[in-house]
Amino acid sequence: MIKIKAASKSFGETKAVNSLTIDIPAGITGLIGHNGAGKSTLLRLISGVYILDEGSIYIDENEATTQEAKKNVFFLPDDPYIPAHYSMKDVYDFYSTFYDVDSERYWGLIDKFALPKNQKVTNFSKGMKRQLYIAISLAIKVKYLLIDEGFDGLDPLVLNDIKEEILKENKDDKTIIIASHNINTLDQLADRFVILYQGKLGQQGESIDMGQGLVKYQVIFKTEVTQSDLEALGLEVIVMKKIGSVTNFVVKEKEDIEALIKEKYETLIFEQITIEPDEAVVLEMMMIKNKEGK
Amino acid sequence: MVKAFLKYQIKQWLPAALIFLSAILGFSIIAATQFNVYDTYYSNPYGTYMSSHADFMTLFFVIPSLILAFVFPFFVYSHRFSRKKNDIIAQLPYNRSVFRNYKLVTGLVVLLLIFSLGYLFGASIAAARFYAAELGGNVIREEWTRVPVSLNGGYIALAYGFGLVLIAADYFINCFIISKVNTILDGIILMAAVWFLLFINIKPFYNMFTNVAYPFIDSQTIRKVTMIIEAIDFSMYRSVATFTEIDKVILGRAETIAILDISSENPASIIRLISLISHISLGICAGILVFVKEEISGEFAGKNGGRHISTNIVLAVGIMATSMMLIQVGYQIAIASILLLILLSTHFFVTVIYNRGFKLKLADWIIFGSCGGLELIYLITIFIAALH
Repeated sequence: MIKIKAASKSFGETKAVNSLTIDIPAGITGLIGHNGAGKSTLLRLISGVYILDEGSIYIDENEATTQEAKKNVFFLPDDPYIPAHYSMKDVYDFYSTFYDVDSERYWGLIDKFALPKNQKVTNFSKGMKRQLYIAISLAIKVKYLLIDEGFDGLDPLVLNDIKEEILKENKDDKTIIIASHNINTLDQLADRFVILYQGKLGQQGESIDMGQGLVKYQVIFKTEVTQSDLEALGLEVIVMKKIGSVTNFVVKEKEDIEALIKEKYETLIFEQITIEPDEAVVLEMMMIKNKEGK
Repeated sequence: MVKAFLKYQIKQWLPAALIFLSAILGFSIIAATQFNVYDTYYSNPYGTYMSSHADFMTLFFVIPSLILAFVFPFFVYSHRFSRKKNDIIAQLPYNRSVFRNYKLVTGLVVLLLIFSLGYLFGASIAAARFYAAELGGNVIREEWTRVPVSLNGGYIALAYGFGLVLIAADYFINCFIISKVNTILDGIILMAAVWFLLFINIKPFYNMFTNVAYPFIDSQTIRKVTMIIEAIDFSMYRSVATFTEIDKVILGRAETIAILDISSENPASIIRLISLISHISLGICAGILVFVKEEISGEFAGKNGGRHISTNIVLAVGIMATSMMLIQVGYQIAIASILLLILLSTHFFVTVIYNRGFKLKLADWIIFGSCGGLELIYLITIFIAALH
């Protein structure tokens, strides 16, 4: 268990993480947030790369910057450093100097990703480098794995392989935190989600919509209906857009919304449509922003 | 932990160490073969003359490694200069300060090892050439006095020991400087400023006082105070000059190292000795400070930020001291005034480079203004001195 209590970290006058309190249990946690929300900073704080200004972060019973805690954590940054002259064996040798690395798993993953063993890492494409980093991070035997922007520059086939391998790791007591803007992939991997907003905890939950119970409708009204008209019916409208004659709106789930609207306004079409994970996150972030604004 | 760390460090240092070692050994060979240990004949319109040279300058075997003492700290603190590197290094399962200390020790050991191999290699070749010349029947004599010259092996070892201490001192002073910055450029600028300051020290500030006070204080007192000031003055050239004094003893040109001959009437020896001690003491202090200081959080790695304001002050004072030294040239008001303008502009632009922009903070303007003011006062004191 990772216990974060009132953690704050500033870079000059910018508060990257602002009094954040959260517990992260075993399983895969998807870390979501706008650019500059503090996702990467939080991962660096958990892995002991940065030192907290205030608050505390405990990895099991140990403070995050201690040797004991660091032994159990591996952080894969968005753009890891590998010396230009390193080969894949050098990468393995480097990390096996400091961590317990499963050699069979590492080379197995290298084979699976079909990475050229005789080339220097510097000659790899961005996607190939990403595969190599994922391979080493999955082969290092740690209880806590933190992945920052892990799915950038990957083709769908490789992405599928990586998702498969990450899911294989989701066992025993292992905790994996993945920060990503690739919401669809996160939705397929994560057991729970955390949204950060301006360094603070925006929302957390076990589904991508954070259990907010949002529903989306696509309606053609016979007359002009505005957001305030719907709000006057007692609906909590998150977003409403009109394109041509079609009105799309998202509201908080309520009993018999269709009947409530139809009772007041005449409609030609009234149907509920699925909210995609990407959209769900955007809606969540809009709700948080509105709440913060208030 | 030690084993893992040593394995990592050997891999890290090996390529660079081999390149540096090759360069140092190459330099040692060149230096050792350039020393004259043979009688040579030369002619001029008045006749043919014989000349014997016996130069054995240990300084040439020390200088390349002294330069490395300025380069190695950048390797030791390399994780500070790149966020990507810091991400990897700072998360390794060690306490970051302990990790840094291991790097400090390894850097020093590699540096001293390179120096030792270079020195012993070069000194052995030079000594072998000297003895071979003697065995060949050439009695090495002083060029003009014709006094036979012999080689004192014990003092070659002493120069080596002194080299070890001096290189270690400079290494730690430079590590201390580099530990205050987050980019290589900042490191170079700050290092230059600090060493200019260490070279020039408080002399210009003292001159500012004597320029005005000279007519009112008796010359005897001025002389005494100047001696004390010079004794405090820690200039690297004095430490380096010690090697040339040892060389004189190595070649039998002097009986003892002048710097240690404090019983003599020459107060310069005492000044040099105090200067040398202060150099080494500074190295020891810097060494202690870099080892005990908690390694900082790495959020400013590779970025222009997170520096302490004291580095701006040191930079300003370093430039100011250099400026004052240069303003003094010739004691001519016109030249000094032009120089002042040039130096103030230079000072401003170095500050701009250090801050990566023309938008200076209030603190920088205060520091810059104070330095400019002091430089102006210094100029006025020169004018006053000229009037007298």
